[in-house]
Amino acid sequence: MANKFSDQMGGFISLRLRGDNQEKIINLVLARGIYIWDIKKRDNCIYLKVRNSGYEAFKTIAEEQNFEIELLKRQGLPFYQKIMKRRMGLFGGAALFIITLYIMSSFVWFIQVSGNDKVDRNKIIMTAARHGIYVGANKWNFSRIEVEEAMLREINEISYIECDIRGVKANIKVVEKILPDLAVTGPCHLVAKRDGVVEDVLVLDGQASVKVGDVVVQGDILISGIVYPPVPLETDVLPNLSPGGEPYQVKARGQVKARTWYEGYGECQLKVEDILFSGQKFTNIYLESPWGKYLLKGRAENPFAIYEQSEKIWHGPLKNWGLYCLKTSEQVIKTTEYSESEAIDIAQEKAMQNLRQGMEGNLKIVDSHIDILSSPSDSIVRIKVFAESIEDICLPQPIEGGQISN
Amino acid sequence: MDKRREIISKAMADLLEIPADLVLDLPRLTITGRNELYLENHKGIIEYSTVRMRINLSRGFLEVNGDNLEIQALMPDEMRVIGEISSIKYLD
Repeated sequence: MANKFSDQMGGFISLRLRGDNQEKIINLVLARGIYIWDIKKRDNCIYLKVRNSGYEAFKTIAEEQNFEIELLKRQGLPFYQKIMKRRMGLFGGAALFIITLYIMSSFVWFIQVSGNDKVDRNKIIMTAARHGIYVGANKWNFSRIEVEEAMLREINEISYIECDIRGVKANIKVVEKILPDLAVTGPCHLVAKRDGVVEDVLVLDGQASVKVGDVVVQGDILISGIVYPPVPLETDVLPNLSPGGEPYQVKARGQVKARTWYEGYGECQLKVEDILFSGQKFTNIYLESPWGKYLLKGRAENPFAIYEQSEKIWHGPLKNWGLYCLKTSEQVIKTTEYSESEAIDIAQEKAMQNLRQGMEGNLKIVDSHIDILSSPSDSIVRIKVFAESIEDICLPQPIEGGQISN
Repeated sequence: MDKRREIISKAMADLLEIPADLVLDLPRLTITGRNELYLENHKGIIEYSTVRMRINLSRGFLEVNGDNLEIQALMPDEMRVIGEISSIKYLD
């Protein structure tokens, strides 16, 4: 059976035949090998379809048999060519649109980086650009897998990378390496990481070098990793009081809690001038071109006396062309006057914040006192806060080879 | 003579297990539901109207009765008839 697609490609004609003995013409056409279809009989007429190629032969047979032929409709591609020629602009435009869409969609227009925390986003983008993925890059000019491998080789802090190209957007997903802490594995001392007065000593391994009440400074050995075996208490061996055997090294473990000091500084002016936003703002949008900037939208003149401006630039695929957005916000100066007690409170709060920044983690303050440095006649209040805390000050320090002495 | 050849052809077809429609040029009818008839090995149309069709075969002819009969496709060896078919008769 013939298929409709080939009929459409070659073109076909719908006909109406009027005449006597219609079966005869069907059989004659059949004998000539002309393919006809959709043969219907209505009101003593025969309706049928014939291919464009067989129409001339069909017409000859029909005329020989005194049939009246009426051409009803021409269908198929050859007949549409005329229409296509007449509407060349439309079809050309559609074709141009599809081609442009295809070409434009084969470039990377946006790059998104996700999953990075410690590694700088710009570093990832620059590395990707060196290996082929940048804004305006042709999608067939780089291999995704090759870029991923090269980036993984180049950025050591990354353990996995995936460049997902979706349409015109490149989504670079990274997983950062989690590096193990530099733990001391061999024999070590525990030394003081800051100055303090020892409050409590707990030795799990090693030999304590300090006792409760001792003042230690940063770097002092608290628990020694060099252990001397105990002296055997045998009465016969006396009076030889030398250590019973050679000293040996261990990895010192334990906890030394000490009273430590922290200080913080804060100040507050009695008269403070703050710059605040009034809420009035406007945005200017400029078109950037090689010949200069053109204002597309916004105000040409700036009516504000004090203002802050923020700009945003969007560059298109063509260099020197882009959109430039300038946002101007009005500012006002607000003067606040504080009483001395208010200024002291503010300065104290700032001093406490400053003190907290110097403390490790969330240490508990056991004692604190405040010192006002400024005199009452000053226009500024200066405050120093001292705080005491009890914390574990142990820090492991590997034992060097030549340290075993005496 | 023709009859003898037909007998020999039939015997050969039986012996070699070849389908009879190939050897004996017999018509093959495929009817789908009651709306479609597909016919192979026909020898032309004797009569065609919307209620009755007579199709020539190698031996005798086939009469198709029904309503709104149409020839959907017509080729030298095969044809497809659609419409509401009520009966199909073999006639000599």
